[in-house]
Amino acid sequence: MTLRVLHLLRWLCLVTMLVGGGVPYAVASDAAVQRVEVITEGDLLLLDADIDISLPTQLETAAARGVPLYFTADVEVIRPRWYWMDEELLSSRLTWRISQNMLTRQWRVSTGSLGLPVDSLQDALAVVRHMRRWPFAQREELPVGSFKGRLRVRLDVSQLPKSFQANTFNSNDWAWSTRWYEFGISVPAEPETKP
Amino acid sequence: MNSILSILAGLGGVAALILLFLLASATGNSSRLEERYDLLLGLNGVVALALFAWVVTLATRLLVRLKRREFGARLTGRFALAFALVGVVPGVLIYLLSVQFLSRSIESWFNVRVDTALEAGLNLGRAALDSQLQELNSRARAIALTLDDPSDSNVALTLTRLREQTGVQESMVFTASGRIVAFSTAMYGALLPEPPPASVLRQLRVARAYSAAEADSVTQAGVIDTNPSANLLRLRVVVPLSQASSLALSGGFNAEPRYLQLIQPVPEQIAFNANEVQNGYRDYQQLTLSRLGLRNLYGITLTLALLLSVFAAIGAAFFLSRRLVRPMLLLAEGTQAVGVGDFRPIPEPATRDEVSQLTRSFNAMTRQLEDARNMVESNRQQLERSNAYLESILSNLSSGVMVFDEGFRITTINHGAQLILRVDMRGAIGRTLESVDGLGPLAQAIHNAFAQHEAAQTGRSYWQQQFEIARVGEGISDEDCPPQLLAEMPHAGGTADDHPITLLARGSHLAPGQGPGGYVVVFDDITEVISANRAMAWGEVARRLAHEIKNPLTPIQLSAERLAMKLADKLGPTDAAMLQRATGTIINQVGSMLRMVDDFREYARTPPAVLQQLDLNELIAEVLTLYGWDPDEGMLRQGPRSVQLSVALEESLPRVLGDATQLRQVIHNLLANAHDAIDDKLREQAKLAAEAADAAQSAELLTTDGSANTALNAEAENRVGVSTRLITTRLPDGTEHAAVRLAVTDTGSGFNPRILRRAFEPYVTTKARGTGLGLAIVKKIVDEHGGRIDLTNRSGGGAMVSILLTRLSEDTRMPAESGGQRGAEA
Repeated sequence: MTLRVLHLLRWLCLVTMLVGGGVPYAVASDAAVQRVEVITEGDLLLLDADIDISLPTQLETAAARGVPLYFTADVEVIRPRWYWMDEELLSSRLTWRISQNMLTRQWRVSTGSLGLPVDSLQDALAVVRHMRRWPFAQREELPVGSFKGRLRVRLDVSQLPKSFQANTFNSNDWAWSTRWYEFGISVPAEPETKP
Repeated sequence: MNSILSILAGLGGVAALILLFLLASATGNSSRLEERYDLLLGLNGVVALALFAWVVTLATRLLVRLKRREFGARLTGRFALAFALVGVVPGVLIYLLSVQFLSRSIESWFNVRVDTALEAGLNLGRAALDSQLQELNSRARAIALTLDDPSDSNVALTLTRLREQTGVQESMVFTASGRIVAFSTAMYGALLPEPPPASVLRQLRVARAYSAAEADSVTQAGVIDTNPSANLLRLRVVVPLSQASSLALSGGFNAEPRYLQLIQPVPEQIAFNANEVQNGYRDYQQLTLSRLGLRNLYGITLTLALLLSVFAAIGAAFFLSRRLVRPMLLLAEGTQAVGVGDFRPIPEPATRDEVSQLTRSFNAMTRQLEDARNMVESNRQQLERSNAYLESILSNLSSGVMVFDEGFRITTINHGAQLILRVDMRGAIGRTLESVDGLGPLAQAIHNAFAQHEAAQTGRSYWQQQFEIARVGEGISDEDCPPQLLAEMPHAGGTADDHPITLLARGSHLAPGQGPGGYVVVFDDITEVISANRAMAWGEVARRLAHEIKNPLTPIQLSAERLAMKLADKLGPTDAAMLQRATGTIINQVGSMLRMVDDFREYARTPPAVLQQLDLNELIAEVLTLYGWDPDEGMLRQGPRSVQLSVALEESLPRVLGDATQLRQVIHNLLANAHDAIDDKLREQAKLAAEAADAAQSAELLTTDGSANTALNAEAENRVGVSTRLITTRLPDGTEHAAVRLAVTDTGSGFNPRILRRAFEPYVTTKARGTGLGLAIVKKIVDEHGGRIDLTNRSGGGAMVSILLTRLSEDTRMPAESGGQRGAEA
């Protein structure tokens, strides 16, 4: 009975948290964006990033049991404003799906329509760890100048069944995310001609 | 305003219900609303919060009202509590049951047997694939053994033949670097061979063989071909060819190793089932991993539903209880209003339930109450009016009325009694009569009368007795008398009189049958009646005496004269002188006796007054002329000292009906009295002045009295006033009553209080010489004229006699003017 009451209390807390403002993303201490580099190439803005990822055991277990994991990289370009909330110039995201075929024991990483067979979970994570040449924006989408950009990588639970979303309430592992990593981004006036 | 609010509340409730329903349906896994789950959760939370705020507001308001001990708050609270309990308890019960059931059932989904069954299914699939792989592998080895033909073209032909013999879908020979040497396929569409993916080559370099089931077809670039038709489960087996054939094929020493690859799709049935098993396993694993989340999901939905329904129930409880209690509060307020006498009907609710019926009967009751109260009120007013009427009659009654209770304590005493007794008894209510100063004898007399009446047992209901009591003289001085009382006492003249008065009293015992018992005494001051009786008796006596005495007097006088005449010559001078003296004395005395008898006869004689119209002013002027009145000087020349006369005759005096002779005598008598009074006073003063000269001490004593000083300037103040006035009184019934007043005043020493009462009785006089019949005759004449005579001592000293003649001639106006002219001439 006491357990029930405790559960009830917890749910009450959860409800108030929900009402209070969105799903809180817990921040794993051992996951962080380590390096971000923005390259301007022709009309595209490309992003290289290195992310230190070490998956929690619960996620590894889930992946080993055939549950697909979705990782999403969010990048935002903002212009700070002192008088109001920062202006968001651009926001872009990239989602990877890492899954294992339980029958053939094969791993694959897919993003969009692109699939990549890999040998193991670590190989699959390596794709996420080292983002290379992600065309996150067109040049004309941003005005010329220097802005602030920020990047984070998180486990995207919204792609999973709803019960996993509810899971984020009572397990930090399922709310896995890196902190926002801020970096400078400058958009040159003219497209550089590649040598 | 209220209706808008209730409509809004209703809309809000419907919206909340819809939200709740949506949330519940979103909880199901296969719903479109699934994606909006967060939003719905938030909205429901907001609604729950709003409801919570509403409930808190209502509860706070109720608590405040309870704290203030507001009327009806406790009833509302009790109702609200009961309703809330009725709403909340089942809800909570069902909620707890549901949560319990939920967690139990969710736990029961995940048991070991299902887990192992699924695992076994998966393994079965894997085993099937493995066996297929093994078979394919053995076929590959068989083909590899027969592929020892060195020529390239042969290889291709042999490969095709061998492939067709073994029934493999696709076979290929390639070098370690990935170059395709020979290719054969059963599919006609795919003419272009698909090179082995990099991962296969990589493994070949390590293990020199490859055997795996593949779910995805991988293109040359190393990415997965997402073309769904290609994405079938298939088996790929790669075995190395013998070194000899490799050498032969390469044609050189340093030839690359060659590999044979066979690709065979898994039979559709097996592939489908294996896939199903795999999907089921994955879904099961997902569920297992997220069962806590699932429980949370349902729990949150349930909790929200519970909160919503609980808050809604409590809110509705408050609302309902207020609604239920309001008519009762109205009723209660109505009763309170009736308690303080407000009989206005309370508004009746429009519904036709018991409460409105109650209200209606309550209103009917208040109406009846109001009617009853009005009736009581009107009765009371009527009673008060009649009481006041009786009261006024009692207070205006000249007779004295005293009511005592059984213990002889005064309960009621009227104004007349106080006037007669000249005692202010307003503070005497509740006391016995003996305790009032000066009324001891009266009380004693009344007691005795009642006692005798009781003892006599005559059967009469009342007794009647005549008391003579001394009026309170010293006890109640003028200052003690209330001014109102003083003003109404006509004889209150600067000095107190304490001569006895005669009361005729009747008393009766109030039987204690109706109301409290007690005693009633009604009494009248009959002093004047007795005086009048006395006057009448005197008149009779005088008439008889005059008659009896007068007869022998004349012979006596005649005999004396005869004696004197006959014997005067026959006697000696001495005797003759004595005879002369004696007969002179007899004749004189008889003469004076005759005069006296004439006076008596005059008094006793009752010649009927011959009433005719006459002018009073003219009559007065005529008499005054006899007294030597000079209209210019206003002095009386008669007598040793001249007395001033002030005459104020009102002009336009109406003619009065009267006997001129009798009225002339009245005026004459009054003037003579006034004149005598002034003469007496002057003589007294002269005597006092002489004494004052002799004895200084006594003079001083008198000086304090002020008499000595007044004696010096008495000459100027000695004055006889004669005035006539027309007095008109308007009676309440509207008729005017006119009367003529004749007043004669003097500045003499006034009436002795002892005399004042009985001044009109014959033989009551203060004069040294006088029969005491003057005023008696005046009184008699005035009575015959139907007038009124009053004697008063003036406050400034002296007396005033006023005569009121009420019988006036019909034509009042005309002769009045002529009278006025005559007055001016005189």
